[in-house]
Amino acid sequence: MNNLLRPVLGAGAGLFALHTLLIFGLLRELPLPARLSLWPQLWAGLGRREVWALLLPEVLLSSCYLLAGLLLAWALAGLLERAPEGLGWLTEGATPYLWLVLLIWAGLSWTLARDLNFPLRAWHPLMLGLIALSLALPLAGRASLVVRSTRRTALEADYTRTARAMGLPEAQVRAQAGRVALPERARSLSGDALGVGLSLVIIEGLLQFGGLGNEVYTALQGSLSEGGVNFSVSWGDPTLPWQLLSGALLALLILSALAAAALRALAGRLDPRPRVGGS
Amino acid sequence: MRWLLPLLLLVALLAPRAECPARSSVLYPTPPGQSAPPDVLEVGGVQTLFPPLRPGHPAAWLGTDRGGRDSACLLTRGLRRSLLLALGLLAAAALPGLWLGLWLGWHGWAGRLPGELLVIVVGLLLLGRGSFRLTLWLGATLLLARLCANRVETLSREVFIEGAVALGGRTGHLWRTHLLPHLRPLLPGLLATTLGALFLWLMELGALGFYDQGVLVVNFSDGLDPVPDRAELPVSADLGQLVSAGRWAWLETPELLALPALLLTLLTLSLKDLSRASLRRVARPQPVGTGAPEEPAPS
Repeated sequence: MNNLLRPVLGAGAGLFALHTLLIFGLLRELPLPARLSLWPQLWAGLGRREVWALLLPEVLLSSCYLLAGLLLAWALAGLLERAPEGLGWLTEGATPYLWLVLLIWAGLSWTLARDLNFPLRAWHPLMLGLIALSLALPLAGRASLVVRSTRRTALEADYTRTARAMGLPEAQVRAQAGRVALPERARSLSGDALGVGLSLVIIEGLLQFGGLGNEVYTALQGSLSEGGVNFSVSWGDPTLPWQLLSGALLALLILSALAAAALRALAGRLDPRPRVGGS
Repeated sequence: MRWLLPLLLLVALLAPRAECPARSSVLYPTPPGQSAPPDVLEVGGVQTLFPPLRPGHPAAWLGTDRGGRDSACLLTRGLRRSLLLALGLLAAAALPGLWLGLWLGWHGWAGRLPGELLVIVVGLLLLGRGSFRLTLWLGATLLLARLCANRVETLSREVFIEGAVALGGRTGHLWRTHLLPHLRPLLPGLLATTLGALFLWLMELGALGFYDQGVLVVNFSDGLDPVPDRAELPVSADLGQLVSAGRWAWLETPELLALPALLLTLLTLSLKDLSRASLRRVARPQPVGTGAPEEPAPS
């Protein structure tokens, strides 16, 4: 029980600290005493129905992008592991938003030339696919490179030499090296989960799709502008938008952390090496 | 991809030194015998184009920004400024990063460093745009320290180090005889990786709205609006700032966002390739002796 509780508490404390730092940064134009007095109200907002009513559609959209991106990255990494290594380097090198801009640029040029509409809508299957692909390409490239390297190490290891010396067929040796390397794909994707959260902020912000990322991106642009963020103009309750921003940031961090934890758990399940303790 | 690096350096060296000229309109007399392109307007009897021009236009092959400045000029100047900025930051981060890495690696604390991008984003949010260089320097120092510490930890687990410790080798002897000679050839690879990461961060931060230089704010009116319009032109911009400026109207002019981001990607990719090649050269086993291939023994 203690073994399970400690990492959960540690991750929770880490998320809490990160959320506090980021929200204090996003509220930078407010003086420090005002920020400190607002802070408990931000957490109190998590109990408000109005906040959740606004937040839930955003959570749904962003988690959909995140899940689709990670699933596609898993599948693409498998393909890239069989493709020439340079392709992995190339896909890993560009950021998700650059892939998205290039894909939409190509799509817009193609559709405008044929007098067609390009569906720039958050829930349109084409946009879902493009955003998932943009998120997945760099992740898949990185994961494929890690898996290649681990498989190479496994094929050069002493136990593989012993297996070959004992007459095990080469196909079986390679399959076993592949099984040893597979958990690294999940570990690599898990390590990138927080980065995917940041990419979602940029992508949703560029497209102005109403997800958690767009909420954070809009607040960031407001905090960088000369006038600062001024929610009270369009909202009756001046604390509600801050509570919404705080909730969106927290939800984005939790989604990224959950994705990372799930992938780490998957890596543990896929690891073919015998476990100490027989669990 | 590393062959691209000298080419990019040459382009940066040949970049114009003066600020790219802004033009509210571009005079474009149609060559005799040709019909005027559809975007040419006749203003006061003169054939005129209004920016932004799109890539492929005969008046500006890479197009122009909203201020009528040629993208070829902006991009080459941006490349030069990005290189100068990143090299300056790397030079400032090299010594503290390496020292921190050696110290952390020796104590086995390589895993204790926080993620660099996280530190940069949190630092920029808390300290503001004015801390752009400081937070990038911090990120480069942390990355270099982590890379160096990982190498020291890996080396410390090698059999020859364990043997030297078992035979009573002191700390100074271990560093002088074993660790530093093994670390020195890795240095170019580590520096190239850090430089590549700096370009990647410029690209990410530019998309979030963080950049190095100020902007020229132009308020203008056509006499019909009660409130003047406002345009922000990046001045002496690096590629990250061009990304930042290009994101506001990226659906109309995606090239203004994509071209600087592509240049930064090319820089990152070529530096990664250089780093990989450098580390691979070090990892390749050398024959025992002078480093020259051993002669086959006479039969």
